[in-house]
Amino acid sequence: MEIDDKLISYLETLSYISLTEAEKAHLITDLQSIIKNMSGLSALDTQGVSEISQPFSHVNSFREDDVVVQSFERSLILKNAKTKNNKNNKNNEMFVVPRAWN
Amino acid sequence: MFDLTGLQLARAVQKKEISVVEVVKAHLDKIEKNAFNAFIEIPGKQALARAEVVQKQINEAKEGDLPSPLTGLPVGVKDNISTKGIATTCGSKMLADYRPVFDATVVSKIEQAGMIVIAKLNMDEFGMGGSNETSFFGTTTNPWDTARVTGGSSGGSGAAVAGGEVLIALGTDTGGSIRKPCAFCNATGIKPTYGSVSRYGLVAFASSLDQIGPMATNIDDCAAMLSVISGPDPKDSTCIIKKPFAFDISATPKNMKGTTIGLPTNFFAGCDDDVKAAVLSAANTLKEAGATIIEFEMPLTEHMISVYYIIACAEASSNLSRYDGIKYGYRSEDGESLSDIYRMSRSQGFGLEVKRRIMLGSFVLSSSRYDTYYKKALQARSLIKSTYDGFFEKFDMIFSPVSPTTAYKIGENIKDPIKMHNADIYTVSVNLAGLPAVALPCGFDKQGLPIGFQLIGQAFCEDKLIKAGQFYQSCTNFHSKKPVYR
Repeated sequence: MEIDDKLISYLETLSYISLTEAEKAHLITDLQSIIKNMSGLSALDTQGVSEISQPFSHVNSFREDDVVVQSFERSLILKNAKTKNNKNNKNNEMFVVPRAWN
Repeated sequence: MFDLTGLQLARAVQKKEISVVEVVKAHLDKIEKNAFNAFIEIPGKQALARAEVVQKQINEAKEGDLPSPLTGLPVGVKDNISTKGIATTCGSKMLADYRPVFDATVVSKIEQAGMIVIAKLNMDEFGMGGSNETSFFGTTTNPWDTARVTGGSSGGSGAAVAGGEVLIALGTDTGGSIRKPCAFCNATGIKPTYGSVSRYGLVAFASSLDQIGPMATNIDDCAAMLSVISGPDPKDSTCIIKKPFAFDISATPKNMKGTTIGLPTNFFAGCDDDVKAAVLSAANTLKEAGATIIEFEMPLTEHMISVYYIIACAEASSNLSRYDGIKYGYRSEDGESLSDIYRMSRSQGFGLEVKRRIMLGSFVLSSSRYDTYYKKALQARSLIKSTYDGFFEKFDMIFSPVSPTTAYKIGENIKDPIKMHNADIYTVSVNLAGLPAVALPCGFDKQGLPIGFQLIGQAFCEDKLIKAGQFYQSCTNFHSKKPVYR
C-alpha cells in the first residue's frame, strides 16, 4: 500500500505527534518497507483461530473496594510536574495547564 | 574483586573478608569512569548510605541468617525500572528529569535481599531498538570493540557486566533485549517466563511481552538473582507465578543424559558462518554429554517478525499515550493550548525510533486496518504459542542461536529498519509465547567478537534451563573470557 502525506498526517493526528519535514521523509520510506513486509501475514491461514492478547489466560485479581494503601503525598507527586504557580494555584497544589475552554 | 562471580564476592562480604562499603567504593571508582557509556545515573551517595545499612545487617545476623546468598552485592538496574528518588529515564529525553516516587517491586526485592543499587543502566529509548543506538544519552559501546554496538535494548546492562563494572545487572526483555546484549557482549542472561517476575514499576513498552530478568557473567549468579526477584505480586495481576523460584544450584549436573533438545535447522540458514559453527559446536557439546538432539523445522518463522512488531508497536502506541507533558516528563514551552502542549511535548520529547513505533502502532490499530494487521497478528500469536506447546510435548528444550550475526559497527544498520528488525528473528517468538530462555556464551568469531546461543524452555521450567546452563558452563570457559580492554 502507498504511504503518502495524507496517511502520515492521519497518523500524526492519531498519535498526537507532529513530525518535521525530515522526519516525515524518513518515516514514509521506513513505513513503506515495514508495512510491505507485514502484509505477508495475509498469506497465513488463520481461519477459525482464536486471538490471544497475552500468553497465558488468567483471571483478574479483585480486591475489596476500599482504601487499603496510603496514597502518595500530593507535593511528592507534583515534584515531577512542570507546573507554574498562578492566581488559582498559589500553593502549587495542582497541575497547571492552559485553559481548555472559555 | 571484579574477577569473582557475584556469589563469590557476596560470600566474601558475608564472611567479613571485605566490607560492603569497600565493595561499593571500589565499584564507584570503576563505574564513575563510565568507559562504555553504560551508566545514565550513578547514585553514589545513596549506595554508600545503603552499604552502611547492609553492613549492619550482616554484622548483626546470626550465621546462615542473611536474606539471600547475594546480600552485600552492588548491582546495576536498567533505567526503565523505577527507583524511588533516582533517575528513571528509559533512555529518553521525555523522562530525563523524572524521579519516581516509588520503587519497582523488583527493586524492593533486591533491597530486601540486602543488595545495593549502584547504577542505572543505559538502554535503547523506551526499550525500542536492538543496538542501544536510540538512547537519548548516547550509544553504549561494546567492551570487546568500542566501535561496535552492544546489542539492545539492555545494552548498558550487557556492557557493564562484560566490562567488569558490575557483576550482576537487571535487564528487560520484550523481544530479545536481555539475550541479544548477552550474545554481543559475552554475558549470561535469563529471560524469565512471562508472569514470573512482577512488572510493577517497570515502565511499560509492550505489556504482554515485557519481562525483567538477570544478566551476569555466569548462570549461577543469574539463577540466584532470579530467585530473589521472582514471585507473585498483588500489584501486578499478570504475575501469575504461585511462589518465588528456589533453584538448587549447589550441584552442577555431571552430564545431559535424559534431556531431549530440539534443534530447528531452519534457524541456521541465515546465520553468519562463524555464528553457525560456534552454536552448532555448543549443541554438539550437549550431545556428547548424553543429550538427545532432534532436528526439526520451526514453522511460521517467516511471520514471526511481523507478528512481533505489529503487537509490540500496537501496545507501545497505547502505553506511551500517557506522556502528555502535564503530570511528569518533558513539557514543551512552545504550546499555547492544552492540545498544543500534548503534541509539542511528545514531538520534542520522543526520539525518531519511538515516534516510528507509536505511529506504526496507531496504523495497525486504526479502524480500517485493525482486522488486517492487529487481529491477524493476535491469531498468528495463538498459532505460534500452540506450535511451541506441541514441540514441548517432544522436547525438554529448544536450542537456537540468539542473533544471526555478532556485534556490528555503530551506525552500520541503524538507518535500515528492516535489517534491524530481521536481526530479532530468533528471539521474538519466545516473548510472543511467554516462554523462558537462557542466553549463554559459546565462542568467538574470526574478529574475536562474542557469540551466544539460547535454550528455550517450557513455561515456568527455568530450572531445567539453568541446569543445562550450569552443565555447559562447567565444561566450557567461553563465559569467563574477558575483553582485552580490561
